[in-house]
Amino acid sequence: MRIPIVLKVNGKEYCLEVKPNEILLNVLRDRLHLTGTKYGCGIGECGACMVLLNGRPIASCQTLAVCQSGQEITTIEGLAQNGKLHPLQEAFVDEGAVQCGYCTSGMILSAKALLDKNPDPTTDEIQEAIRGNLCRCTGYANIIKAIKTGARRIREGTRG
Amino acid sequence: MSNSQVITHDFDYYSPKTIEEALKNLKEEGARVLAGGTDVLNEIKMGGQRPKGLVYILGISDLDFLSWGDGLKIGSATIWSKLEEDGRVKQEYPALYDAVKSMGAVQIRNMATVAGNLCTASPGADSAAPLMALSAQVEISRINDRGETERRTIPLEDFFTGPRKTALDQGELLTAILIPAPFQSSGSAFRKIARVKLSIAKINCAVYVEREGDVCTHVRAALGGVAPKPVRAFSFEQTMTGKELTPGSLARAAEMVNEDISPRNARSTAAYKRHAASYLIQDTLEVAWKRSGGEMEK
Amino acid sequence: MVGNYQGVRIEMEEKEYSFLGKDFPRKDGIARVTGKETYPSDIYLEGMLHGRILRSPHPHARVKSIDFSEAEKIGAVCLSFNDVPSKHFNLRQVSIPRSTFKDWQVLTDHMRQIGDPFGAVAAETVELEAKAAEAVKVEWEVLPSYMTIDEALAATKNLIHETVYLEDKEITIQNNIACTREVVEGDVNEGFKEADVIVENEFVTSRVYHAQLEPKACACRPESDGGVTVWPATQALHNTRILIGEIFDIPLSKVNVVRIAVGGHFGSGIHTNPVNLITVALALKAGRPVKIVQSREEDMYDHSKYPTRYALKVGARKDGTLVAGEMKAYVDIGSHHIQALAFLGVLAGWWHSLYRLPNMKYEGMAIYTNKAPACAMQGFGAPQVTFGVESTMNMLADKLGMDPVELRVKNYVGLGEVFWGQGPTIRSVIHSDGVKELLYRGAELSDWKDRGDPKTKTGRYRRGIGFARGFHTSGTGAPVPGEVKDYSTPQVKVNEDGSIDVLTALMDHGGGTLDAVAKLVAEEFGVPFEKVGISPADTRSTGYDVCTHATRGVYCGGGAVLEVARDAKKVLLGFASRILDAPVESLKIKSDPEKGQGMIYVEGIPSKNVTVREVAQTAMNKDWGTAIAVRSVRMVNCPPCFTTYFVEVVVDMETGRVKIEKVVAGSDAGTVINPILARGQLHGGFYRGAGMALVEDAEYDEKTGKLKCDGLLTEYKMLGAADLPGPENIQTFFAGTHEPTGPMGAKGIGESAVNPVPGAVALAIQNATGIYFTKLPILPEDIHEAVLGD
Repeated sequence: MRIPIVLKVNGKEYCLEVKPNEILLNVLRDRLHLTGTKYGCGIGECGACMVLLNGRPIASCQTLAVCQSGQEITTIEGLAQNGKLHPLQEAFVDEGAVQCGYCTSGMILSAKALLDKNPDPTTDEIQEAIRGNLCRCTGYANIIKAIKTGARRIREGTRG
Repeated sequence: MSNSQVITHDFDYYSPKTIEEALKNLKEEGARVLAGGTDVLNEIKMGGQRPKGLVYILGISDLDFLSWGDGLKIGSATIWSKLEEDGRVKQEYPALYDAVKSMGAVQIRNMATVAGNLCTASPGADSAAPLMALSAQVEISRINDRGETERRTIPLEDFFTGPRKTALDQGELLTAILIPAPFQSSGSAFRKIARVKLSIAKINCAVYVEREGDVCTHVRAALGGVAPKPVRAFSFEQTMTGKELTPGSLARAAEMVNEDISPRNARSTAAYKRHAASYLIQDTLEVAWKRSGGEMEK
Repeated sequence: MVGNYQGVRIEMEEKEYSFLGKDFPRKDGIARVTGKETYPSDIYLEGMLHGRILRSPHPHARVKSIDFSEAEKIGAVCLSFNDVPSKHFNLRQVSIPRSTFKDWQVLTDHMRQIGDPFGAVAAETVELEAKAAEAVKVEWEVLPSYMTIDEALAATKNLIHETVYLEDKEITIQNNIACTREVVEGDVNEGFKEADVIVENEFVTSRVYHAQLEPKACACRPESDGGVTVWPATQALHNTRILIGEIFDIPLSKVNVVRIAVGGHFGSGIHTNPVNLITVALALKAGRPVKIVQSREEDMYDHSKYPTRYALKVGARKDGTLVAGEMKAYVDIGSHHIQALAFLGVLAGWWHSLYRLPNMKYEGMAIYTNKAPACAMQGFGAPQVTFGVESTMNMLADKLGMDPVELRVKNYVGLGEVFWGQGPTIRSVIHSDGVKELLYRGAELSDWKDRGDPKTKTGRYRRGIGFARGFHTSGTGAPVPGEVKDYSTPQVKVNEDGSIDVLTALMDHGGGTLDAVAKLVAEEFGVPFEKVGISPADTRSTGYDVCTHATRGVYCGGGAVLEVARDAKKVLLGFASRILDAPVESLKIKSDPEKGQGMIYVEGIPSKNVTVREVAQTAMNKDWGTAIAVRSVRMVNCPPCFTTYFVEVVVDMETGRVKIEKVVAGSDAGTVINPILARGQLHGGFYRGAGMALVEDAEYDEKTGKLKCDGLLTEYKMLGAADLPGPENIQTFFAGTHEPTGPMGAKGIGESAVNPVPGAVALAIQNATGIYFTKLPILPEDIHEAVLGD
């Protein structure tokens, strides 16, 4: 059984035929070659496969591509606009929040979803929001700082 | 060894747009409901489940609602996050709000449905204890032999029939959760104990309390992760109901919790669970009591 | 900021660095925040097949027969142990041959753990390869399994390994004992006679899993000349290449291993992971490129930290001087020997180099069990040992009525002393020592003085403050070469526009090693950091580098690059002297930030100057040549980088739950090159060390041989962001030391950032509860039980 679907990823429409059992993460990576979204645990808990579905973070390893036909998906590749980095992306680099980088895609999307709802989060609120993003390298401290810096820059319309 | 990367099992896929369509699809032999996918897909990937077909219900807008009337009706395609976002849930059913906040990762809250959590029927399901404490019922729909849509409503206690077993028959769909309106001076709370915050609950507890002055006029308490299915703490309720709330009366009631639970050695030692359950229920009731406007001497 | 304890000159204060000690956006930062960085699992090659390893469902078994027919019908390429060379080797090529035990084969019919590979399949899509793997039918002869050290030691037949090789000598294994090691200094019996107090305990640490976020993956393309190009997850480019060439009989000139970003190692890539070799074997058989991406479940059966069980007895005089110590260690190494012999040696080394022990006896034994093979994980035994040693020091302090900080100060191995952290064969002298500063300042910044006596604490929630100190060696260099190889072969060249290319086989696991290397070169040439490029590296274009481990990245790797940079600088200055008509000895370089160039000038005559760019261009146009150098460099020291952690916790005496409130982390890394990333190392080290102390344990079910967590990350408990203090409650500071043997005064930091942490957390819990826990992890149930017991 092959089902025609339309995946709207980062503002672009992809028409493809998929089997019902194809997982969204694998379709994004293997068929659309958007490899910024990563596989980390396969059970939706580590956040490496996070994408935004209509603005909400979801685990792309926990849903089928067929289920998301017609929905708006944002991956890390869609964050920078016209070559200009999103303030969160800049802040992550500036605050040492990137080490091996494997959690970074999911972590930034998670942070973006948080700031879209809560433009001035406290440490507790950030820790709560990134509970689903495992980072094995940084110990989270610089990530929290980066999210605060990104939030401030968005509010002030500045770059450091 | 399981393979969390890819699904090899081939299945039929249905994406109905109405409840009736879904019910028809579910009559197919071997058809299972697919909601958020966070349980079902893992069961297929790694648990050896091989359903013949999956019926995806999140495309049914008639099932995605939070309807306030005399109480709250939650459509079965409603994701957890929507409960978090609706301010009235936090106000009127704080136990349910606590449960949402305490569940795993935000990505799971954005995909998983409350109804789906009930249907998976894990003994420690985060949805069970709060909904049971709040006297929730579930509405189950099916298409009968005459082709008509039928509905029945049962209390949540009767919905769980065993570990990971529910009262749903083949072809039936849980379509809504109904929670009665809370009393004026009432409060509720949900707490859980887990090794670290990001994990499946080891044991959890929800309490709903009605207050008149310093007296608990009515108490409903439910525990998860302490028995093959979520249970009401009847002995605790009976001991607490009608009593003035003091640290002493609370402690005495909490001791009765031992009568209500039978933990297997699932995730931690039984002795620890008994001890933990008894003060967990105290902690939870204290919070519910405060939310009902009450105070308790220390 | 002053740090002249012991009178070490503080060059940091006097010297103004242009690039060292300043933060710049990391060079790979933009790629990583935009999803453009390529990791092994992201490799796509034309005609590529997806592979899957076939693994044993039994903890101990032999393959009787394999039926590939159904898999072949799907169109899969199939591989078994019959299709690959049967040579024995050790996946880790860091030790010299005579210290290398070989008990691995690419594929085998003797399964020694659940997950042991016996074959592999490859197919066009990920679904097909998974289906093909499911379609392979195997007949098994199940053997008795040994899931604990005691079971394994009791066995006399059906051993996990019967014959292994040490270099090329055949060794017969008895009772599943992989190897043993003994180290003796002085006379312990005499030593204990002088002791006024003795403390004796057994310490146990668990099977921690690295949980690096990227499960191991590898891609390989077979080349038309019979060679291979490989993109593996590895810390050891050249060792991987050597192993591939040796096993598959391909000249190294045809084997190219490419450096690629990786989603974390923490020591799990020092050895060439089995997936790398199996990918090569599959690609060679298929005649097409193959990529294998392990699932998380497979990865959890692939490697783990060394669990330890050791008895530790230490004696001291009543003035606090340690006089004697005895340690007997049992290490469960799982299904294979990766670096067990070296591990046994460093256990003794860390112990001996924490505190002066004139008389010591150490016995270590490594035992095979049917579990994932243990391999190095951050600290390589130091977190395990430091936990026991620091706990013992506090127990001694209790008995002696001495201040625990002063007891450390009195006994620690420091400036001017000989130490052998990496084991008895690697000895050197300590030339920089910020330990006192770390201890005194850490005590000041935390509320150490107000920690209180646990015996007086009451109530349900109890506060406790504990500390521990530790160190790691910066690499494994020493004046006299020992058991492990250690050198690098970098190349540095000045480009025609004054920018610089640095070519090194060093790996950066995310900590910023390569950025640090670039800063050293920038500082040396006065050329802006942005203009020092770290070239893509592979084994064809680079000379041998032993691998990036043992916290050697900056000190050894950077040290080597700096030496070679100075060679290239000599050539450049030679050109410049011709241009400026001044002797080379009179020429100096500095950074000219306005011009964005390195500036060469005559000392005392600043008007006589020329930019690096002008020199390079002139040298090109006049056919003088390129300022380039390449050389192997070995550092002859492995200076300890010290750390101290003061940790404040609150323990809920009812539930046993521990909340970490505050952390004060002090590090002596010599010159700090990347401040923000160095702090990141301390944060990360704390997080992983605290996880080891409080929750992490990849336990096995002794009956089934399966991981209790079943390979699910949900079930392998780790701390989350909300379990750690926020950045406002984490303080970090650096001691003002300068390592004279290090590149511009730098030492390492990496592993030192985790080593003392489990001990510090355990001792904080002791201060809150009054109970010394000697077994990690310290779970809420354990605290609850111990508190009830009281």
